[in-house]
Amino acid sequence: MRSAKTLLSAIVFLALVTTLAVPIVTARAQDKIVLRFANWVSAEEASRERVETVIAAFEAENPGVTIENIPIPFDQVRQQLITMSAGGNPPDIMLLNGAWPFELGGMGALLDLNTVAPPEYLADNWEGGLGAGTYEGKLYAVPQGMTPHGFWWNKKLFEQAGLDPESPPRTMDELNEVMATLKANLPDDVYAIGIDTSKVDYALTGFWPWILTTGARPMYDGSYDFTTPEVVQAFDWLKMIADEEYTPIGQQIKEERELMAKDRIAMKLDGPYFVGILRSLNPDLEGDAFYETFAVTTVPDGGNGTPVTLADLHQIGISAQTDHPDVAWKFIEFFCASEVAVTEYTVPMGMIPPLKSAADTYGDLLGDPVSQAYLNEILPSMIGGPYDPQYGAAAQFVIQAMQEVAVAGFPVDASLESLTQTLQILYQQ
Amino acid sequence: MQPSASLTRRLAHRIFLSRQGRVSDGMYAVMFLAPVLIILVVVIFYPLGRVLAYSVTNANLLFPDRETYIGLDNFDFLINQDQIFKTAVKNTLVFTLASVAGGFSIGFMLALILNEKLPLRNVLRGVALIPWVVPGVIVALMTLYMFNGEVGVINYTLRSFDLIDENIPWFGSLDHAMWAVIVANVWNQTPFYMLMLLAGLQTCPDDLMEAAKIDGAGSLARFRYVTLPHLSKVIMIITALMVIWNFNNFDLIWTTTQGGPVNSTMVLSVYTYRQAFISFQTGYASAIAVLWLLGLLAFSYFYIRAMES
Repeated sequence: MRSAKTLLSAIVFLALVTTLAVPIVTARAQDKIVLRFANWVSAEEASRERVETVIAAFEAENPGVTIENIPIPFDQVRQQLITMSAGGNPPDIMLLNGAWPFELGGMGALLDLNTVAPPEYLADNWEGGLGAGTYEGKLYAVPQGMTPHGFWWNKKLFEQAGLDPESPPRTMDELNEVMATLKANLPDDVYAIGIDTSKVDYALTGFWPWILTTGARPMYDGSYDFTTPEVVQAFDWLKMIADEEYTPIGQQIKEERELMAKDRIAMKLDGPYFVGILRSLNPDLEGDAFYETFAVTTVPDGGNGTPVTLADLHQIGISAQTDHPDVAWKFIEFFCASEVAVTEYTVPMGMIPPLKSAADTYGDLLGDPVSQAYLNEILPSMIGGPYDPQYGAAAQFVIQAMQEVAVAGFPVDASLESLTQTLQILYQQ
Repeated sequence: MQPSASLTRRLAHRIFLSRQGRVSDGMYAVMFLAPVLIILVVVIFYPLGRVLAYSVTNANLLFPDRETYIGLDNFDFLINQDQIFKTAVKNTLVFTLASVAGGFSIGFMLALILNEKLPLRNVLRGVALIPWVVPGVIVALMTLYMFNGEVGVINYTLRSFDLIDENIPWFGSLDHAMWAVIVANVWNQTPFYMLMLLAGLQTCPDDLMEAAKIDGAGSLARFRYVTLPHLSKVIMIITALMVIWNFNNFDLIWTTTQGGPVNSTMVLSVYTYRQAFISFQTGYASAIAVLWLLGLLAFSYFYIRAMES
């Protein structure tokens, strides 16, 4: 009996020690600098190997540096980065998008890249590209890949409906006429345009160009007024295309992409990577067949005066807590602008390189119609988003207003009035 | 009055060592319970305490420097001004009650059928369990595609039988979205009810049934006066368990609708997640969680008392 108790005591003691004891981390001499790089592109099958190729090339050039790759699925990146930063355990380098640089920058989690980036590198960026990562005069992120939304149309469906396949609509009035023609002349299960009216965050990212094109700038520069005539015009248009069944209701962007690949949506906004996505969904679009079916141009002008789109980019930033900001910047420059990165990752993944000089340096890789449309028309039309640290919370209410108008049939004026009041309360807190 | 050093020593001796200087039974009890108690404190009571503490602050992960104590303001806003919270409470009740009622009814019927001596009974029991072993997220993704308004098999089937003229945008419709997720949830959970009730039915004494038969009781009477009373404890446990589980259901609704359209499927779990990890309003999310916890505790208390009586 006594020996059994002794044995049990030993087991309990060992269990306590092994399961509950806090691991003792001993400092060990490190020869290498280790930088943790959090990104979503390593979590995606299509780009994982390409990213690893670029990282391996950087490590080969810099034997004293190891890049620890941290893949995070895109829809979890924002939450993970903010919680990691708030918990004092952020990655050194972060791939960013949309409002994230503003949220992370606002909470003091990102380094002002003006302190590490050479001025000549920054000067080589597209206008609007740096603006998409600048908050209160500090540059929290630089573009890694230029991916703003352009206006894509299916030339074969245009032709089938009796429209000129080479003449996309240039104004919102023309767009409305085109939608009516498509609706009248195409089968019932084909939609004229794809607008994401689901509750996912990206629904608003996709709708911003339609707001901006009217000349409206709600949430820019501290104005949260969604009742201006320009904003009302944008939401009236949203309600109209829902009521007329020009767009499928409740479909998320992924589902709309599948419909577009199967010739069931004629027009939609998307980034330059849409080429690869459509080809992966429809193998018949390989090679020139793609350019015979699809083309891209600027968002139709709805009163802004010039075409405009949202600078929805792949961006990259450095943690304010990193011990090696200069080395981290070295990696960023390599990941954004080195030949390996551009030829093995950026261009093959359908993105436009972030520096203007790349158009000359890699001209032979960017000669296809889509890249040329982006370089000559779409990139010059992009502007930064209406981002600030509260954007994530505010966006939930804007998406709700979009759903009220498009899905529930609420009156536009009432929804936008309520939205404006809600945002004013939110920003007063 | 301070206990003397000798008293303290004697108490410690009394607890941990026997008179012979060996490890006492009290010490063994402490040693065996300590791991579990420590784990409980670390993973349950500490977070619970933090949630309670956050619920009376305006904590926001994006603005860590602005955190201040605000008393019961979060609760006041939740109860008196937050319309989405009220919608979420209502939706949670609808989702929970409909899911439990649907799953229980179908599960009970299946259990009664599979308790009979049918050919291939064991195979059928195994097949009926399949939905239960499918992970929640997979169920959600299957639901998303099956109920897709454009390419989903549900609309295709309904149209094939001329039951609808036009496709229904299940997850894009205020009238249909909640019922679509409830149907998926019932499909997923029915086998659990079936399994538990079937286990209960198999312990129902044959002699009791035969006695009832001899006394002239029909099948309905036997079900009412023999089977149901015999299963009452099982029914109490599984319905209480499933009410709590469905109150906390997150993955199905988040993956399919994220609470939309226009909050028509917004339940408390999704609303709390949105506040905590989309808006990062930790204090407000904690206040929701506290009310939610109180609601569940109250339900459990009254439900168990009612069933016992």
